[in-house]
Amino acid sequence: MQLKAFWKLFSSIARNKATDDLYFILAEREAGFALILFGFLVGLPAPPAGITLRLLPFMENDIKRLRIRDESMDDLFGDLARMLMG
Amino acid sequence: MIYFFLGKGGVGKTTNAAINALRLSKKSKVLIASTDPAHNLGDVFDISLEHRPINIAENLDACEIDYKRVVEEYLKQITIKIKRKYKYLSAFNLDDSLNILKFSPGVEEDALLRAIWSLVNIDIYENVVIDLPPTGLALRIMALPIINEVWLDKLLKARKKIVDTREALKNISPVFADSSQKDKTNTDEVYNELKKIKEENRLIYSRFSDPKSSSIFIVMNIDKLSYAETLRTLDGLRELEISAKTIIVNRYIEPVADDSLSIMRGIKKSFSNYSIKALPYKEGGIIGIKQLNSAEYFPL
Repeated sequence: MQLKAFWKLFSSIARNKATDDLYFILAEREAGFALILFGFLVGLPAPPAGITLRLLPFMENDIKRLRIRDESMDDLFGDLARMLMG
Repeated sequence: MIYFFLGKGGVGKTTNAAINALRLSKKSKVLIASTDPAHNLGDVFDISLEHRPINIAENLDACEIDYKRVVEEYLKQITIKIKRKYKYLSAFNLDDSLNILKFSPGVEEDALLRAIWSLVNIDIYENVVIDLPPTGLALRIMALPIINEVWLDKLLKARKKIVDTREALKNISPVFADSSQKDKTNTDEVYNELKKIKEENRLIYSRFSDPKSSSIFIVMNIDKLSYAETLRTLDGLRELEISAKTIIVNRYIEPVADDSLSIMRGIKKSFSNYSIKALPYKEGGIIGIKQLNSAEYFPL
Protein backbone atom coordinates (compact mmCIF):
# COMPACT_ATOMS: atom_id res chain seq x y z
CA MET A 1 0.00 0.00 0.00
CA GLN A 2 2.75 2.37 0.97
CA LEU A 3 4.65 1.45 -2.19
CA LYS A 4 1.54 2.10 -4.27
CA ALA A 5 1.05 5.47 -2.63
CA PHE A 6 4.72 6.29 -3.12
CA TRP A 7 4.53 5.32 -6.79
CA LYS A 8 1.41 7.45 -7.26
CA LEU A 9 3.16 10.43 -5.68
CA PHE A 10 6.32 9.85 -7.72
CA SER A 11 4.32 9.58 -10.96
CA SER A 12 2.46 12.77 -10.17
CA ILE A 13 5.69 14.67 -9.49
CA ALA A 14 7.30 13.30 -12.66
CA ARG A 15 4.21 14.16 -14.70
CA ASN A 16 4.15 17.70 -13.35
CA LYS A 17 7.85 18.08 -14.08
CA ALA A 18 7.41 16.75 -17.62
CA THR A 19 4.45 19.06 -18.14
CA ASP A 20 6.42 22.06 -16.91
CA ASP A 21 9.34 21.13 -19.17
CA LEU A 22 7.01 20.81 -22.14
CA TYR A 23 5.28 24.09 -21.33
CA PHE A 24 8.68 25.78 -21.30
CA ILE A 25 9.73 24.13 -24.58
CA LEU A 26 6.39 25.03 -26.18
CA ALA A 27 6.65 28.65 -25.03
CA GLU A 28 10.21 28.88 -26.41
CA ARG A 29 9.21 27.35 -29.74
CA GLU A 30 6.16 29.58 -30.14
CA ALA A 31 8.15 32.68 -29.23
CA GLY A 32 10.86 31.61 -31.68
CA PHE A 33 8.36 31.09 -34.46
CA ALA A 34 6.71 34.47 -33.90
CA LEU A 35 10.14 36.07 -33.77
CA ILE A 36 11.09 34.50 -37.13
CA LEU A 37 7.98 35.99 -38.69
CA PHE A 38 8.13 39.40 -37.06
CA GLY A 39 11.82 39.64 -36.26
CA PHE A 40 12.32 42.16 -39.06
CA LEU A 41 10.95 44.68 -36.54
CA VAL A 42 14.10 44.11 -34.48
CA GLY A 43 16.52 43.67 -37.34
CA LEU A 44 16.43 39.89 -37.85
CA PRO A 45 16.32 38.41 -41.37
CA ALA A 46 12.69 37.97 -42.27
CA PRO A 47 10.75 35.65 -44.56
CA PRO A 48 9.42 37.23 -47.77
CA ALA A 49 6.68 39.72 -47.02
CA GLY A 50 4.10 37.59 -48.84
CA ILE A 51 4.48 34.70 -46.38
CA THR A 52 4.34 36.93 -43.29
CA LEU A 53 1.28 38.80 -44.55
CA ARG A 54 -0.58 35.57 -45.42
CA LEU A 55 0.06 34.22 -41.90
CA LEU A 56 -0.77 37.47 -40.11
CA PRO A 57 -4.54 36.78 -39.84
CA PHE A 58 -3.80 33.48 -38.05
CA MET A 59 -1.10 34.68 -35.68
CA GLU A 60 -3.23 36.32 -33.01
CA ASN A 61 -2.41 33.81 -30.25
CA ASP A 62 1.26 33.71 -31.16
CA ILE A 63 1.53 37.50 -31.09
CA LYS A 64 -0.23 37.56 -27.71
CA ARG A 65 2.24 35.03 -26.33
CA LEU A 66 5.14 37.07 -27.71
CA ARG A 67 3.80 40.13 -25.88
CA ILE A 68 3.48 38.14 -22.66
CA ARG A 69 7.05 36.91 -23.12
CA ASP A 70 8.16 40.48 -23.65
CA GLU A 71 6.42 41.54 -20.42
CA SER A 72 8.11 38.78 -18.41
CA MET A 73 11.54 39.44 -19.92
CA ASP A 74 12.78 40.98 -16.66
CA ASP A 75 12.05 37.73 -14.83
CA LEU A 76 13.69 35.27 -17.23
CA PHE A 77 15.67 33.74 -14.37
CA GLY A 78 12.47 33.30 -12.41
CA ASP A 79 10.98 31.47 -15.39
CA LEU A 80 14.05 29.27 -15.73
CA ALA A 81 14.27 28.56 -11.99
CA ARG A 82 10.63 27.59 -11.89
CA MET A 83 11.21 25.14 -14.71
CA LEU A 84 14.42 23.66 -13.31
CA MET A 85 13.26 23.32 -9.72
CA GLY A 86 9.85 21.94 -10.74
CA MET B 1 1.81 28.30 -72.52
CA ILE B 2 3.30 31.34 -70.87
CA TYR B 3 5.77 33.44 -72.84
CA PHE B 4 7.96 35.76 -70.77
CA PHE B 5 9.83 38.64 -72.38
CA LEU B 6 12.85 39.81 -70.40
CA GLY B 7 15.59 42.33 -71.02
CA LYS B 8 17.26 45.60 -70.17
CA GLY B 9 15.01 48.65 -70.17
CA GLY B 10 14.51 50.12 -73.63
CA VAL B 11 15.79 47.19 -75.73
CA GLY B 12 12.37 46.49 -77.25
CA LYS B 13 10.83 43.82 -75.00
CA THR B 14 7.35 45.25 -75.46
CA THR B 15 7.59 45.44 -79.25
CA ASN B 16 8.78 41.85 -79.48
CA ALA B 17 6.20 40.65 -76.98
CA ALA B 18 3.52 42.34 -79.12
CA ILE B 19 4.82 40.79 -82.35
CA ASN B 20 4.83 37.31 -80.85
CA ALA B 21 1.42 37.75 -79.24
CA LEU B 22 -0.05 38.70 -82.62
CA ARG B 23 1.56 35.66 -84.26
CA LEU B 24 0.20 33.34 -81.56
CA SER B 25 -3.26 34.88 -81.94
CA LYS B 26 -3.47 33.57 -85.53
CA LYS B 27 -3.95 30.08 -84.09
CA SER B 28 -5.06 30.52 -80.47
CA LYS B 29 -6.73 32.79 -77.94
CA VAL B 30 -4.02 34.99 -76.44
CA LEU B 31 -3.64 37.49 -73.64
CA ILE B 32 -0.71 39.89 -73.61
CA ALA B 33 -0.07 41.66 -70.33
CA SER B 34 2.39 44.40 -69.58
CA THR B 35 3.87 44.21 -66.08
CA ASP B 36 6.41 46.97 -66.65
CA PRO B 37 5.77 49.95 -64.34
CA ALA B 38 6.65 52.20 -67.29
CA HIS B 39 4.02 50.74 -69.60
CA ASN B 40 4.19 51.25 -73.32
CA LEU B 41 2.26 48.25 -74.57
CA GLY B 42 -0.61 50.55 -75.48
CA ASP B 43 1.83 52.84 -77.34
CA VAL B 44 3.23 49.89 -79.32
CA PHE B 45 -0.25 48.74 -80.36
CA ASP B 46 -1.35 52.36 -80.68
CA ILE B 47 -4.41 51.45 -78.61
CA SER B 48 -5.37 52.73 -75.17
CA LEU B 49 -5.16 49.85 -72.67
CA GLU B 50 -6.50 49.30 -69.16
CA HIS B 51 -5.80 47.25 -66.07
CA ARG B 52 -8.38 44.65 -67.10
CA PRO B 53 -7.94 42.80 -70.43
CA ILE B 54 -9.69 44.26 -73.47
CA ASN B 55 -9.96 42.84 -76.95
CA ILE B 56 -7.62 44.55 -79.43
CA ALA B 57 -7.55 42.13 -82.36
CA GLU B 58 -9.04 38.80 -83.35
CA ASN B 59 -8.18 36.29 -80.61
CA LEU B 60 -6.01 38.84 -78.83
CA ASP B 61 -6.73 40.61 -75.57
CA ALA B 62 -4.32 43.00 -73.88
CA CYS B 63 -3.87 44.78 -70.56
CA GLU B 64 -1.43 46.98 -68.69
CA ILE B 65 -1.22 46.00 -65.03
CA ASP B 66 -1.80 48.94 -62.70
CA TYR B 67 0.88 48.49 -60.00
CA LYS B 68 -0.83 50.70 -57.48
CA ARG B 69 -4.10 48.86 -57.90
CA VAL B 70 -2.42 45.43 -57.69
CA VAL B 71 -0.75 46.27 -54.37
CA GLU B 72 -3.94 47.85 -53.00
CA GLU B 73 -6.05 44.82 -53.92
CA TYR B 74 -3.41 42.51 -52.46
CA LEU B 75 -3.37 44.37 -49.13
CA LYS B 76 -7.16 44.63 -49.18
CA GLN B 77 -7.42 40.82 -49.19
CA ILE B 78 -5.12 40.63 -46.15
CA THR B 79 -7.12 43.35 -44.37
CA ILE B 80 -10.40 41.52 -44.99
CA LYS B 81 -8.98 38.32 -43.52
CA ILE B 82 -7.56 40.13 -40.49
CA LYS B 83 -10.85 41.96 -39.85
CA ARG B 84 -12.73 38.66 -40.08
CA LYS B 85 -10.39 37.04 -37.57
CA TYR B 86 -9.85 39.93 -35.20
CA LYS B 87 -13.42 41.20 -34.94
CA TYR B 88 -12.55 43.40 -31.95
CA LEU B 89 -10.39 45.46 -34.31
CA SER B 90 -13.38 46.43 -36.49
CA ALA B 91 -13.70 49.74 -34.66
CA PHE B 92 -10.01 50.37 -35.22
CA ASN B 93 -8.97 51.88 -38.53
CA LEU B 94 -7.05 48.86 -39.76
CA ASP B 95 -6.95 50.09 -43.36
CA ASP B 96 -4.76 53.04 -42.45
CA SER B 97 -2.48 50.91 -40.30
CA LEU B 98 -1.94 48.29 -42.97
CA ASN B 99 -1.60 50.93 -45.69
CA ILE B 100 2.00 51.48 -44.58
CA LEU B 101 2.77 47.88 -45.60
CA LYS B 102 2.63 48.79 -49.29
CA PHE B 103 6.04 50.38 -48.77
CA SER B 104 7.53 47.23 -47.21
CA PRO B 105 10.27 45.46 -49.18
CA GLY B 106 8.95 42.52 -51.10
CA VAL B 107 5.28 43.50 -51.06
CA GLU B 108 5.27 44.86 -54.61
CA GLU B 109 7.10 41.81 -55.97
CA ASP B 110 4.74 39.39 -54.24
CA ALA B 111 1.66 41.33 -55.33
CA LEU B 112 2.91 41.35 -58.93
CA LEU B 113 3.73 37.64 -58.85
CA ARG B 114 0.17 36.92 -57.66
CA ALA B 115 -1.24 39.22 -60.35
CA ILE B 116 0.76 37.39 -63.06
CA TRP B 117 -0.31 34.04 -61.62
CA SER B 118 -3.98 35.00 -61.73
CA LEU B 119 -3.64 36.20 -65.35
CA VAL B 120 -1.99 32.98 -66.54
CA ASN B 121 -4.76 30.97 -64.90
CA ILE B 122 -7.62 32.61 -66.79
CA ASP B 123 -9.16 29.60 -68.54
CA ILE B 124 -10.15 31.22 -71.81
CA TYR B 125 -6.55 31.97 -72.89
CA GLU B 126 -4.50 29.22 -74.46
CA ASN B 127 -1.40 31.38 -74.47
CA VAL B 128 -0.36 34.26 -72.23
CA VAL B 129 2.44 36.66 -73.16
CA ILE B 130 3.98 38.56 -70.26
CA ASP B 131 5.98 41.69 -70.96
CA LEU B 132 8.11 41.71 -67.81
CA PRO B 133 9.62 44.77 -66.11
CA PRO B 134 13.34 45.53 -66.64
CA THR B 135 15.70 42.76 -65.58
CA GLY B 136 16.30 43.65 -61.92
CA LEU B 137 12.64 43.58 -60.88
CA ALA B 138 11.84 40.74 -63.30
CA LEU B 139 14.48 38.46 -61.78
CA ARG B 140 13.33 39.31 -58.25
CA ILE B 141 9.80 38.26 -59.22
CA MET B 142 11.02 35.04 -60.88
CA ALA B 143 13.21 34.27 -57.84
CA LEU B 144 10.39 34.67 -55.33
CA PRO B 145 9.02 31.11 -55.63
CA ILE B 146 12.46 29.66 -54.84
CA ILE B 147 13.09 32.04 -51.95
CA ASN B 148 9.60 31.28 -50.64
CA GLU B 149 10.31 27.55 -50.87
CA VAL B 150 13.42 27.81 -48.68
CA TRP B 151 11.58 29.80 -46.01
CA LEU B 152 8.44 27.67 -46.16
CA ASP B 153 10.43 24.50 -45.52
CA LYS B 154 12.00 26.05 -42.41
CA LEU B 155 8.74 27.53 -41.16
CA LEU B 156 6.84 24.28 -41.65
CA LYS B 157 9.50 22.35 -39.74
CA ALA B 158 9.41 24.87 -36.90
CA ARG B 159 5.61 24.89 -36.78
CA LYS B 160 5.40 21.09 -36.85
CA LYS B 161 7.61 20.99 -33.75
CA ILE B 162 5.19 23.37 -32.00
CA VAL B 163 2.22 21.24 -33.01
CA ASP B 164 3.97 18.03 -31.88
CA THR B 165 4.86 19.63 -28.53
CA ARG B 166 1.22 20.67 -28.04
CA GLU B 167 0.14 17.11 -28.83
CA ALA B 168 2.55 15.75 -26.24
CA LEU B 169 1.25 18.23 -23.67
CA LYS B 170 -2.36 17.30 -24.36
CA ASN B 171 -1.52 13.67 -23.69
CA ILE B 172 -0.03 14.33 -20.26
CA SER B 173 -1.83 17.43 -19.06
CA PRO B 174 -5.64 17.36 -18.88
CA VAL B 175 -5.57 21.09 -18.08
CA PHE B 176 -3.76 21.85 -21.30
CA ALA B 177 -6.00 19.49 -23.26
CA ASP B 178 -9.08 21.32 -21.98
CA SER B 179 -7.71 24.76 -22.67
CA SER B 180 -6.38 23.97 -26.10
CA GLN B 181 -8.77 24.75 -28.95
CA LYS B 182 -7.03 22.59 -31.46
CA ASP B 183 -6.86 18.81 -31.01
CA LYS B 184 -5.09 17.58 -34.06
CA THR B 185 -2.10 18.63 -36.16
CA ASN B 186 -4.23 19.48 -39.13
CA THR B 187 -6.30 22.03 -37.25
CA ASP B 188 -3.44 24.39 -36.48
CA GLU B 189 -4.44 27.30 -38.72
CA VAL B 190 -0.90 28.61 -39.15
CA TYR B 191 0.35 25.13 -40.12
CA ASN B 192 -2.53 24.69 -42.56
CA GLU B 193 -1.93 28.08 -44.13
CA LEU B 194 1.78 27.33 -44.49
CA LYS B 195 0.97 24.08 -46.29
CA LYS B 196 -1.45 25.93 -48.57
CA ILE B 197 1.15 28.59 -49.42
CA LYS B 198 3.74 25.87 -50.08
CA GLU B 199 1.43 24.05 -52.48
CA GLU B 200 0.59 27.25 -54.39
CA ASN B 201 4.26 28.20 -54.49
CA ARG B 202 5.22 24.77 -55.82
CA LEU B 203 2.63 25.11 -58.60
CA ILE B 204 3.90 28.56 -59.56
CA TYR B 205 7.54 27.47 -59.64
CA SER B 206 6.87 24.27 -61.58
CA ARG B 207 4.80 26.15 -64.15
CA PHE B 208 7.40 28.91 -64.61
CA SER B 209 10.37 26.57 -64.79
CA ASP B 210 8.89 23.80 -66.96
CA PRO B 211 9.84 24.37 -70.62
CA LYS B 212 6.61 22.58 -71.61
CA SER B 213 4.54 25.32 -69.98
CA SER B 214 6.74 28.42 -70.05
CA SER B 215 9.10 29.91 -72.54
CA ILE B 216 11.51 32.76 -71.86
CA PHE B 217 12.67 35.21 -74.49
CA ILE B 218 15.51 37.59 -73.74
CA VAL B 219 15.58 40.72 -75.85
CA MET B 220 18.80 42.62 -76.44
CA ASN B 221 20.40 45.18 -78.73
CA ILE B 222 23.87 45.10 -80.26
CA ASP B 223 25.57 47.21 -77.61
CA LYS B 224 27.96 46.47 -74.74
CA LEU B 225 25.55 47.27 -71.91
CA SER B 226 22.75 45.17 -73.34
CA TYR B 227 25.11 42.26 -74.06
CA ALA B 228 26.56 42.36 -70.53
CA GLU B 229 23.09 42.48 -69.00
CA THR B 230 21.93 39.56 -71.11
CA LEU B 231 24.85 37.49 -69.82
CA ARG B 232 23.96 38.42 -66.23
CA THR B 233 20.28 37.65 -66.85
CA LEU B 234 21.11 34.19 -68.15
CA ASP B 235 23.34 33.59 -65.11
CA GLY B 236 20.51 34.75 -62.86
CA LEU B 237 18.01 32.44 -64.53
CA ARG B 238 20.45 29.52 -64.35
CA GLU B 239 20.73 30.00 -60.58
CA LEU B 240 16.96 29.77 -60.41
CA GLU B 241 17.09 26.61 -62.57
CA ILE B 242 14.94 28.36 -65.15
CA SER B 243 16.14 28.16 -68.72
CA ALA B 244 15.64 30.77 -71.39
CA LYS B 245 14.73 29.57 -74.84
CA THR B 246 15.43 32.35 -77.28
CA ILE B 247 17.61 35.41 -77.57
CA ILE B 248 16.15 38.16 -79.76
CA VAL B 249 18.58 40.72 -81.15
CA ASN B 250 16.35 43.72 -81.68
CA ARG B 251 16.98 46.74 -83.94
CA TYR B 252 19.50 44.66 -85.88
CA ILE B 253 21.78 46.51 -88.29
CA GLU B 254 24.57 44.67 -90.08
CA PRO B 255 27.58 45.40 -87.85
CA VAL B 256 30.53 47.19 -89.43
CA ALA B 257 32.26 48.92 -86.51
CA ASP B 258 34.80 46.93 -84.45
CA ASP B 259 32.70 47.21 -81.29
CA SER B 260 29.58 45.84 -82.95
CA LEU B 261 31.51 43.07 -84.69
CA SER B 262 33.08 42.06 -81.39
CA ILE B 263 29.65 41.98 -79.72
CA MET B 264 28.23 39.88 -82.56
CA ARG B 265 31.07 37.39 -82.14
CA GLY B 266 30.33 37.33 -78.40
CA ILE B 267 26.62 36.74 -79.06
CA LYS B 268 27.27 33.82 -81.38
CA LYS B 269 29.78 32.30 -78.96
CA SER B 270 28.05 32.91 -75.60
CA PHE B 271 24.55 32.12 -76.77
CA SER B 272 25.31 29.18 -79.02
CA ASN B 273 23.04 26.95 -76.90
CA TYR B 274 20.05 29.19 -77.49
CA SER B 275 17.94 29.95 -80.50
CA ILE B 276 19.04 33.40 -81.68
CA LYS B 277 16.96 35.50 -84.01
CA ALA B 278 17.12 39.07 -85.15
CA LEU B 279 14.57 41.75 -85.84
CA PRO B 280 15.82 44.41 -88.25
CA TYR B 281 16.00 48.04 -87.25
CA LYS B 282 13.11 50.15 -88.52
CA GLU B 283 13.28 53.92 -88.65
CA GLY B 284 10.62 55.34 -86.30
CA GLY B 285 10.03 51.99 -84.61
CA ILE B 286 7.31 49.41 -85.21
CA ILE B 287 3.98 50.89 -84.15
CA GLY B 288 0.45 49.63 -84.67
CA ILE B 289 -1.01 46.22 -85.43
CA LYS B 290 -0.36 46.43 -89.18
CA GLN B 291 3.37 47.09 -88.78
CA LEU B 292 3.68 44.57 -85.93
CA ASN B 293 2.04 41.92 -88.13
CA SER B 294 4.47 42.53 -90.95
CA ALA B 295 7.63 42.38 -88.80
CA GLU B 296 9.86 39.48 -89.79
CA TYR B 297 12.60 37.75 -87.79
CA PHE B 298 15.58 36.03 -89.32
CA PRO B 299 17.93 33.57 -87.67
CA LEU B 300 21.41 34.71 -86.61
